[in-house]
Amino acid sequence: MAEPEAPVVEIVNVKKRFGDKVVLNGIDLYVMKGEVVAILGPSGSGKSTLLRCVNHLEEMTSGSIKVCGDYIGYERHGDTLKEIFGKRLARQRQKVGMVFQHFNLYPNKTALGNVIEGPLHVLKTPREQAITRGRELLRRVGLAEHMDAYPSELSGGQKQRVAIARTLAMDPEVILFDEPTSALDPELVNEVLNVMKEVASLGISMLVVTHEVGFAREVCSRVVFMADGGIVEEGPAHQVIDNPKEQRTREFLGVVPRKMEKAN
Amino acid sequence: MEKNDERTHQLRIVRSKHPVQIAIGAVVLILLLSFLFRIADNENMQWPVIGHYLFDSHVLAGVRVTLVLTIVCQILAIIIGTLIAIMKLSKSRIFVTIANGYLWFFRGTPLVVQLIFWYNLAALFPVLFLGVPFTSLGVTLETNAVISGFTAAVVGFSLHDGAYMAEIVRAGIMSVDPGQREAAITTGMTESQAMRRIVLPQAMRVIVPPTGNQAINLLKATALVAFISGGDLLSKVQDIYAVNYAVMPLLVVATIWYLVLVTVATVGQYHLERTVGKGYTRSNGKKGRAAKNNVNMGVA
Repeated sequence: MAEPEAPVVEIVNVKKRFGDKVVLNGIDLYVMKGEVVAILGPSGSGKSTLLRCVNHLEEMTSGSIKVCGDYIGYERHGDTLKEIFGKRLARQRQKVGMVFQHFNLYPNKTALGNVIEGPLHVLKTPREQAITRGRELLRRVGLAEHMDAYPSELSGGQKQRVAIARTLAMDPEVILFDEPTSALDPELVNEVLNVMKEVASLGISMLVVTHEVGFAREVCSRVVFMADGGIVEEGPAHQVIDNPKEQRTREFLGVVPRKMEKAN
Repeated sequence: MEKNDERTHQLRIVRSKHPVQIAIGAVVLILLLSFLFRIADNENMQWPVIGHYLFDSHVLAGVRVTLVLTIVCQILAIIIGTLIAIMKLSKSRIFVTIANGYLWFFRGTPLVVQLIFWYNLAALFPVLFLGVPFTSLGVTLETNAVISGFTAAVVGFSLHDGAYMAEIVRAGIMSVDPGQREAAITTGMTESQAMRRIVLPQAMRVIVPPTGNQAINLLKATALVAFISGGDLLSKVQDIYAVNYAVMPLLVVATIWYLVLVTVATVGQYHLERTVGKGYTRSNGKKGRAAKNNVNMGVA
């Protein structure tokens, strides 16, 4: 007699306007615990904006987003959401990790320095412990020999793996990936996707905005296709990618089925 | 076929000499040396007089005042400037307006006037009340007892320089990739932590050079305290030549000391730049040892 579990991420009727431009037109989306959900779509579809609303890097115009039961960036008073700031907002954000398209590593710290920064100064973990954990995480993403390297000495794929280790160091409940491989050379994409597969296998919920349709098909339980600020189609990964129902989805994915036929 | 020649002979790379650069360097050097020589040999310079006053106790006292004033005021200016810069960059329209008002006033009025104003504060406010406005909770001080030439100078220079520092700090903060702040707050840091731990340290790289400029400017601007009976290097030197009429030699004494102080400041700036520039190698993304060999900004 299991009670239905609350979703880890609950996006309800989210709308976002930049001045006159409507970027998000009423998005409803949920992510259950342990799920890996991919968001695909052409540029301008609003997928990055949606992701950034989840951890309040962007403010929504209306709607609500709950992560692990909290309205990130807000406090609910009856029917209104009041903005919150400072320490309370920061504490909410601890549960939500983010991996960026352009890595955003701290350039004046080593790889290890990047990874331990959060645990040391936000979680107040003792230094020894933070370093041990940091080393372990860097080992797991395959960067054991680069712990003392500065980001400027690393390749794109290595930088992104450090970024993932940095996020994992905070023990988030859900990790948001904003086109994590879009800025990488093709031969470096796989090393990052493999690490993301491993993160998925750890049972961490993931919401991934990506162009890597192959990854979406292989690793994600669900795929969401967005265009023009709205969700066009949504469903199990294999279904949406192999047999898209909507014309728009088919147009977008048009290239992939042919590629996969050739592979087979 | 002729191609064989290229394969059998190793082609040697020879660095090109730069005749024009060398020629210009030589001309400058010769002009400089001949100028220095003519100065050294010049009777009108009165070198013995310069030598006599270079370490005179009054002059040294003046150097001390100049130095202390510069250091204290520059530090205060950096603190004030950072606060104003953060206010100007905040989302609060109130803070932005306050910051803009500060900049407008303290950059818009002449420094000399500001110094004279603080020194003569007693003319406007004979009594200073520090406490809760419109009540009697607080402390009352007689203005003239608190304001001296030195305190007026400290207040005046700090507030004035603070305005210029604010724009320098703001430029530095703006030079940091916005993704840095985003990464920091995503790991659960507050905006203030992100600013202190991640953004400002990176902004330092861009802030240090123009700040060095400001400090050196301040060093010489301290001469203005002559208007408020300051006791700095230039004032002391003027006191001396008012009596013995050896104007040139004493100005040279002052110049030598200013040069010494600026040299120390410049060396200090160099070391500071090396420290805050850690991690910014000219590696262009090259990996490992190749990158470390290209370092020109002191990765420790």
